[in-house]
Amino acid sequence: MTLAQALFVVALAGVLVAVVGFGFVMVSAAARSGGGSYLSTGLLRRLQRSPEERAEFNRWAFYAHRFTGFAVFAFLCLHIVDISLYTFAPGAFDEVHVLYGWTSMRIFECGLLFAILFHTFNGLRILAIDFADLGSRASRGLLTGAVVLTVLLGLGGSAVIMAPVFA
Amino acid sequence: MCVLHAAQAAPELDITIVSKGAVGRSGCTRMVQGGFNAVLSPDDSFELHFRDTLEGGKYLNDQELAWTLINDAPKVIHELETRVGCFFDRGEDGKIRQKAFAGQAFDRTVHRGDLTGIEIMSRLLDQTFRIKPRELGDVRALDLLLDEAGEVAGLTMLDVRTGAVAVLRARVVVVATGGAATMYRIAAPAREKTGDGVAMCYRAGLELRDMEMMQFHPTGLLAGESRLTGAVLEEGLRGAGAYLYNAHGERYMERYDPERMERATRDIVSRASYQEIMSGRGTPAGGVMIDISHLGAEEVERRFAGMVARCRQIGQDLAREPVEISPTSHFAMGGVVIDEYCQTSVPGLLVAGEDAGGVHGANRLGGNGVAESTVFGARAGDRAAIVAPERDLRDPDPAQVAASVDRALAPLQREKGPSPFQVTRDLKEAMWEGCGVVRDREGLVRARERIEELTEQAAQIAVPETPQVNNAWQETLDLANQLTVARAMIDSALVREESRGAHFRSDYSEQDNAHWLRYIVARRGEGGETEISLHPVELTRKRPEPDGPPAEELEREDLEEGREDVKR
Amino acid sequence: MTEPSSKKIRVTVSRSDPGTERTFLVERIEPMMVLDLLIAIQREHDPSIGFRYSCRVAMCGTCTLRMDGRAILACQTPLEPDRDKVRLDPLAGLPVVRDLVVDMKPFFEEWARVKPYLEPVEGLDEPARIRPDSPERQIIDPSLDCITCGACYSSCGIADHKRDFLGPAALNRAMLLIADSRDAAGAERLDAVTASDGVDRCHYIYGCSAVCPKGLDPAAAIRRLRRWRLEGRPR
Ligand SMILES: Cc1cc2nc3c(=O)[nH]c(=O)nc-3n(C[C@H](O)[C@H](O)[C@H](O)COP(=O)(O)OP(=O)(O)OC[C@H]3O[C@@H](n4cnc5c(N)ncnc54)[C@H](O)[C@@H]3O)c2cc1C
Ligand code: FES
Repeated sequence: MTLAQALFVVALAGVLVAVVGFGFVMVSAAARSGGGSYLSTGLLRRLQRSPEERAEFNRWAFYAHRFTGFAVFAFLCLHIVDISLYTFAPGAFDEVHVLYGWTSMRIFECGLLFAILFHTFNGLRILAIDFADLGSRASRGLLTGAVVLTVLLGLGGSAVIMAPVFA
Repeated sequence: MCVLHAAQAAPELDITIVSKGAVGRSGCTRMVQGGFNAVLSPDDSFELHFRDTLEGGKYLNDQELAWTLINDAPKVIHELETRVGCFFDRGEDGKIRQKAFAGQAFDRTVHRGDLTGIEIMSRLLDQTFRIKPRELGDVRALDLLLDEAGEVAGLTMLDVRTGAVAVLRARVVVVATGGAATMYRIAAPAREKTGDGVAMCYRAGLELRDMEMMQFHPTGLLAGESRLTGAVLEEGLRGAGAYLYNAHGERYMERYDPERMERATRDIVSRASYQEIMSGRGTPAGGVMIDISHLGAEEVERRFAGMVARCRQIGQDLAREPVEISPTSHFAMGGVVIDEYCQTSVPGLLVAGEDAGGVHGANRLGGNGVAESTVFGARAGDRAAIVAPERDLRDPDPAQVAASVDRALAPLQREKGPSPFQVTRDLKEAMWEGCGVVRDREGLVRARERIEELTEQAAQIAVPETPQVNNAWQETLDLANQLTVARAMIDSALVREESRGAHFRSDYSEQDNAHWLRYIVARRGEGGETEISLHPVELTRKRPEPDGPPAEELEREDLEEGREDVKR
Repeated sequence: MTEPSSKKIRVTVSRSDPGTERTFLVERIEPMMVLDLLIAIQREHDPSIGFRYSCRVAMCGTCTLRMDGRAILACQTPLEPDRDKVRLDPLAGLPVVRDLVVDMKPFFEEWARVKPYLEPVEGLDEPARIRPDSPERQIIDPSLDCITCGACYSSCGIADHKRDFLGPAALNRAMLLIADSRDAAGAERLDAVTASDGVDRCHYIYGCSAVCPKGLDPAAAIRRLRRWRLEGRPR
């Protein structure tokens, strides 16, 4: 492993730690003051009982949105650096970009893809809420749509990303 | 309303609000559903409203106070609309809509849906963010403090959250703690209303009048042990033709008022239901049934959505089956003797609202309650702004302060004693049985003895030692005041040997104008016993009309079918 | 009336003074509201438990707490017959005074920031003549009966997170005043609520609208304010 590659791996590990840390802080703050329902059997029963209770999904979408947003942002910071290597150290650029072909890196990329897709569709959903003046029910419909699209496109994209591994 | 007016008249005043509950979110003004009586239409008149009020009050009212109420009510509505920001329901023409209310010859009740109180109190609370008075929420006033000359020096108070006690020195004190109607087993008001103000004034030696007059609402919900018991089902149900049955399935109103049946006035229906229940024809839970399902489930759900929802909560379906109800204690007509400026016999002490007596006489008209609390609240504020600058801060008597604080802290220090919750229950039971809708000498005497026993027990109560938010301790302090007021009520009720308005004696069942156009004043005697005196009602403006229509007569058309918005 | 049952319900209440929670086995009554549960605990088990209520008919808004995490009015929430356990906590995002009692100060600080009182327009000396079917009342009337119980604030996820956000209740109040033709400070208020701590913080979690015990829709008020910023106030 070259020096550039080692540095990249360390930085990437830093990104992952930051993302996990952010998730941890977010979840613990939410548990303390989020005011949402607890994950319990009672909640499952309630979600089945009345559609109003399913507004809770909006809350989880909010947390997911923040989490994916931070994850994408953190990776982007690193990515800007590794792309910009091209301008002053093309050799290092090539070395680093070999890493993107590693299987573990590909798995990471799949996760990134899901994050970007969810963040995008959920963001569009929130814009739509404003523009079309959607209430709680309609916005939940859109959320289902956003999740379905994320899963479909994410699976498709993942297949493309992972294809070379199995080839 | 009081703070608003005082601050308007004298912005430099230093004003403090002391409220036992959350400021602006406790008490009954918040709970007003039906509405506010005011003469607004050119076809209506002060004289008409005045007559309705006196007919309702069976001419026991202080006529000057009643006249003041009626005169100021439209002004207050104006002010609420144009300055405070309330918005009452409008008619098609965009003018304030006034609806029919029981016992009145004209549709003059202003309302905001059936949540009028929320609109009034919320907007008044919003005003406090403009005026910014000092707010002591969750702080209980304990006792009034007087100086050596017997004038107001301030009050002692207790912070419910921390358990700390303090003295508040004041030039003027306005007492408006909202009466004591909670002391019955089945009761409608908010839980703060435990007669604190009346008891404080009584201890300070002030005169209380009409204490025997306690209004019962005929259709309070029965929900077993649940706290929802006593919550009011609106009067409009009876207006729309609901039937009342006893446990044998008889429409018992046939026996009490064959002509008007269920649509008779509040006091008559309450009394009838109470007699059915007490003579063993009630349901096992001690109630009677109201049935409106014959109108058709859909119709009921449309017209009485709120009430259907309220019943559904306790698992009953008003639209399809009979619902169990009982009379529920509602409003105390009696209180401290005041003049038109809310002044009492103690200089610097003003009393307003349900704590004051005399405005409603023997029975309050629905819709005159909020009117009273806002009209006299405003007047107290105006008066305070005049009186306060003329007075200086007095030094309270230290012995008085010490006694008041000791009394408050005592239950915390006792290790063992009865539970306050049990004693309160016993009190409510005793009052319900002995000094309830129907009274007689024997029952009153028994209740009186029971109150003595309970007072002794109350003096032994021990509570958990945590001073912060200690509900048991607070309940003990409430209880002491309730017992004081209960005694004054029973003593007054014993004296009035006739039936008038809300006070019905089965041993003296007739109204006796020849002897009893007199009001009863109770005050604390030297030795702590109640001193009762009788005073003729001053008929300064209007005498009872022997030939005029009796009050019941006026009500019938208001309760006619189709008037779905008739409330209390 | 249903038959009296001797069923018990297991109640877990978070307590502030020992710093831990406590579990009680409470006799069921029928019907039983959450408030009845608390009163039963107070009477039969532990008289020192801290909670508050006043009106018990959904008008005062002081009995708000969280049942299994969801903000409710204790006096209005029945315990379903099939329920055998329940967990009660104080509202989220507000300082706890004791046990289930919270200090509503932060809530009212936000409320005060939108100037919640009417600034009457010049010449408003008579009650305004406004038809009940006028566009302005169509906007205002359905959103009016807020009891400032704080359920929305607790369920917001943003307001209760100690971020600077006016919160659903205050924004709903601001919307009402801006829509009110009797009020003169609408433009100023619209500026205030569309500043950085205002409507833009909302992430459409819909926690507020889902829990409002009065069935109001603060999220709709926020959408409206966002729209008015672009399109101007309705006049
Ligand atoms: C269910 C119900 C419905 C009603 N509907 C109507 C209606 O439709 N129309 C109508 O005209 N009237 C109605 N009334 C009557 C009306 O509500 C009362 O007449 C009126 O609210 C009394 O106002 P108040 O200001 O005297 O007292 P409240 O509004 O009751 O205020 C009392 C205040 O005093 C505080 N307090 C009590 N003790 C202390 C203490 N020791 N220290 C400090 N503060 C204390 C309390 O916290 C509370 O804030 C109704 C009453 C009830 C119970
Ligand atoms: S006690 Fe008033 S809203 Fe629940």
